[in-house]
Formats: sequence, C-alpha cells, structure tokens
Amino acid sequence: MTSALLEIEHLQLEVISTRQSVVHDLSAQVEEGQITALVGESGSGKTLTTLAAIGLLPPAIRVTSGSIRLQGEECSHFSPRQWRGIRGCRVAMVFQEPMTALDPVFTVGELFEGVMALDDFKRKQAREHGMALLEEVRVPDPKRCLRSVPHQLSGGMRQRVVLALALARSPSLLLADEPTTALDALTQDAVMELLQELCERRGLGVLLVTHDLGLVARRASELVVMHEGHVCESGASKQLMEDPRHPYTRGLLASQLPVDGYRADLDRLEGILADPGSWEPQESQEGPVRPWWPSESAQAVDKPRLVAVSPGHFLAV
Amino acid sequence: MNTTAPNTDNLNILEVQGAKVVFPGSGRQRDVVAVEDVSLRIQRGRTLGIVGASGCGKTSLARAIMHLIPLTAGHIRILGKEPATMGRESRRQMRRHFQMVFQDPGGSLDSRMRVVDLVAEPLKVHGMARGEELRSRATACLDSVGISADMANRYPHQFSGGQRQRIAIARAIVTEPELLVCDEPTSALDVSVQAHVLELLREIRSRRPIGMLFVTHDMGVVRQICDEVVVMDGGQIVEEGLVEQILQSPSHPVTQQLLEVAMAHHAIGIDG
Repeated sequence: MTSALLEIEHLQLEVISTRQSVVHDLSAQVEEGQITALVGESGSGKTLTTLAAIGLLPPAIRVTSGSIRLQGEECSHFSPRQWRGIRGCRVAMVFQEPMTALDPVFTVGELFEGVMALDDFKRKQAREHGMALLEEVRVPDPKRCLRSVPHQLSGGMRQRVVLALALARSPSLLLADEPTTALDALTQDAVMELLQELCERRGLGVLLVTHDLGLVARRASELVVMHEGHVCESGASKQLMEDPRHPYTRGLLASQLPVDGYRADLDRLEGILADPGSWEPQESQEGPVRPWWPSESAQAVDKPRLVAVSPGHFLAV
Repeated sequence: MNTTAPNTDNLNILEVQGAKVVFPGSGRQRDVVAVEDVSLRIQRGRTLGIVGASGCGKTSLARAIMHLIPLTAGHIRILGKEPATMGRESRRQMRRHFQMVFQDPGGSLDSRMRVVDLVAEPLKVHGMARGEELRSRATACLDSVGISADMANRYPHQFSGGQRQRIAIARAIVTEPELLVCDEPTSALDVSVQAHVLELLREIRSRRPIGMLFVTHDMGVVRQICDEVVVMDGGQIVEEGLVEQILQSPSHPVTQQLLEVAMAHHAIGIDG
C-alpha cells in the first residue's frame, strides 16, 4: 500500500459533554500533488474534520475512534506539544477569512519574520524567503506587499499572503477551509488555479473544504460529499461528476445557478430531499441499494455504511 | 419576468448622474478614486445588477447611493429628490424609502437585540408605529420572510446564516422602501440557502414593485434576479444593458471572464 500524505480512516468525532457524535465513520485521503475536497453545507462536519487533521479541534470535541495518519504516522492521539512540532512544517492550514487570519498590526514582512524565526532564519533571510514565496503565489509587487499591513491589501491579495505564509515552512500537506468564499468569482477561480499549480509544482497535497461543488469539481481529484457528519458519496471527482449516485450530490449539482436561462424554482435540493422514500435504488457491487438519508425520527439506529457502486466510488446506504 | 406595476408612471426610483467617489489619501498615500463618472437609473419594479471583480467600485457605489459615504461629485436622486442637498431632518425622513441588505448578516445585526426589536427599530426611528402595533408589524414582517412568531424573541446568534439574512431582509423591507440595495446578500451562504434567499427577494418584488439594486460577482445570480446589469471595472461602467443581451453577447473582457467562470461552474451542473 502506498502511503498517502494524509489518511483518515473511520474517523469519529463527538461533543464530549453530550456524547453527541458530530462526524461518523469518515474516511478520506490526500495523495501527493492532489486536491481532495470535502463538500457539504453548514453543519456537515467538514471543518471539524480538517481541524482534527491539524490538532486544532475545539476543547469540547474529541476523537473517539478511527485514525488520522500523516505520511504514515498515526497522530490522532498526539499531545498539544507533538502537534506543535509538526504544525506549520509538515501540515499547514489556510482559513476562510484572510482578514482575521492576518494580524492587522504587523506588516507582511514582519509576519514572515515571525514564522521563519521558528526555523532560525535571520530577518533579512526571512524577508528574502517571503519575497520568493509572494512571487510564487503571484503577488504582483512583492516588495511593496512586504511593506504593507493587511488592510492595505485587497481580499485576493490577502488570501495569497495567507497562502504564502502557510507554505513558508514547506509543508507537504495543506488544509484549506473555504479558502475562496470571501473572494469574488474571478479571484476565486485564480486562487483555485494557483492551488492546483502548487500541487503540481511542489507535490503539495491539499485537503480542501468547501460548500461550492461547482468551484472544486474541475480542480479536485477526489471528492467526499458530507451531510450532518456522514459521508453521502465519495470517489474520484470525475466519476462523481459524470455519474452522481446520491440524490444529495445531484441536488448540490443542480443547485448551481444557471447563466443560460431563467429558472422559476431555484432550490432544487428541497424537492429532491423532501421525499427520500421515493429515491430509486442504485446499482452497486452488492446489488441494488437505496441511498441513505438521515430519518427524522430514529437517528440513533440509522447509521449508514458505504457500499462500492464501482471501484473507488462509494455510496452511503 | 417581472410583472410591471399597475400604478406605474415611468418614474425612476433611482437616478445616478456622473457619480464620483474619492477616498482621500493621507501622508504619502495617494487619493483613491473608487467610482468615476457613473450614471445609471432604476425604474419602478426593475432590478439592476452591478457586477465586477473585487475592487471595481461596486460596493462603494452602493454605499454612496445609500448615503453611507459621501459623493465627491455628481448627483444621486431617489424618487426624484436629492437627499444630499436636503436638510438633516428631511433626509432622515427620506431614508425609510431606501434600505440596504448587507453581505454579512452576522455583522449587520446587533447581537444584543432580540430579532423582533431589530426589525421594529426602523419603524420606531421613523415614527411609523408604536406600542403594540410596532411589535405586531415587526412580527408580521418577520413572518413574511419565514421567521415564525415563536422565534421572534430570540437573539441573532440563535439563527443560522440563511435565517439571519432573512432577518436582515425583514429589517430592510419593514419600512416599505421604494429602493432596496442588496450588497452580495447571498455570497456567504450555502447553495440551497442562497436559492431560498433569492426566491424570497423575488417574492418581495412580486408583492410590491420596488426598485432593486443588486451588487454581486456571480453571473448566475445576475441571470436569476436582475433585469438589467452594469459591469464595472476600475470604478467605471464598462458595459451595460439588459441581462439576456449582455449574457448572450458580452463584449468587455471582464464580462466575458465573469461569464466564463459562471459557465464553468454550471457546466458540471445537471438539470434535476
């Protein structure tokens, strides 16, 4: 078995005080040079999953079972000290809101100095390193950028700076939580293209969290569609796009607002999800199966399992 | 797509003429010209989209129209009147006719107020209702956007993002404005929630023929809610016209790019 950059297997997360489980039986992996996207709406547990992979789960939530392996090393039970040792240099994170991720009182140059001090870089060295990275993420005037404080930069530039800072200590895995949500459509696309390019050039692996299936479908190689902490469908991006089996995945795809015509009913999900009983059984390697959906009454008994509908393409039933 | 209003004369709800917005620099920084010589109009019952990449001046223009930032040059007329030249008191009275929905409902709703009070406040400020009527009108307005009466006493943090945006919309329409300015009200929301909010705005428009200004960077949103569109770049209008026309044959590179990105998104979509 080749060792992926990140392997999450049967991960379970729960709220400690209420024992309520928030992520159930999640498996995903990120290979070198590839983007894996966790897709879902608010409350699907996608953000918690990434936080678990960098040891930043809120204190109220813990890993109850399953494993998280970074380059083959089991780290789901790392101490905070062990996490500090690898955070930034082996796995780094980009957050949704670049304005709050950057400290407003420091210039970008000073931020680089702070990060690189961890690797004993001198001031000048750190700035040179920063310059090179800003160039790599295509900041047009890196010299001026280094002298700027965050509020002087546009949203797209700020997100590029955040990305450059995350890459500063050459991590092999990057976790990105809705990195483009705060940006406009053109910048969104440019940032996604940049991420893809970094994957190819550096062999970087990216675990990307998003609610926008349309944005990532073309860029990610693997997709995991989540709902309320469960995986609905997962597999190679191309396969999922061409032949989505779960009605929820189809609904998410159909909810993209078309530009080529007026549509009276915009919400396609509601109609699809209103009556899960009418969903047609899907062909799988175990014969016809009915896609899983959380029932409103007996949630506790109703745990889905993943069935292969074709090699590498899984459906919750 | 819109039914025209029954009581319409061809009145312009909004008329912007040669608008210019400059943010003065300080010290070594130069002045920033955010909006340069922009003219546009919105007729009763029509929705105009302003699209462009970030930094194109679309939000500055929307804010100037709302009189939240001063205009450096040009004129903004709402219902034929020019609030900028009015006295303080009459401008304040004008305000109930133009209201705004902001991008981030979390930031635009006071977290210490119950939502019913948030929605009642504009009525109170404009002396449109008091006492029991104040409350009942606020509750009715919340109900019309899908927030039921039993939730009216909660605080904003007890609602989801989509619900919060509904509350922000309720607050904006409670004074029955003639002009509703929406600054990217759906960009932070999940796809299905976005669809619901857009459907709500369509419904509001069908109830009363208000003029709507919709700031967005998403051509899909433009197609689904706007009648006309202006495309901005570098503070100026670079293309304008009817939505169908612009989307069919975009001429400016920015329009083409925005459309291309939106098409790529939808290309993967299937018709359910």
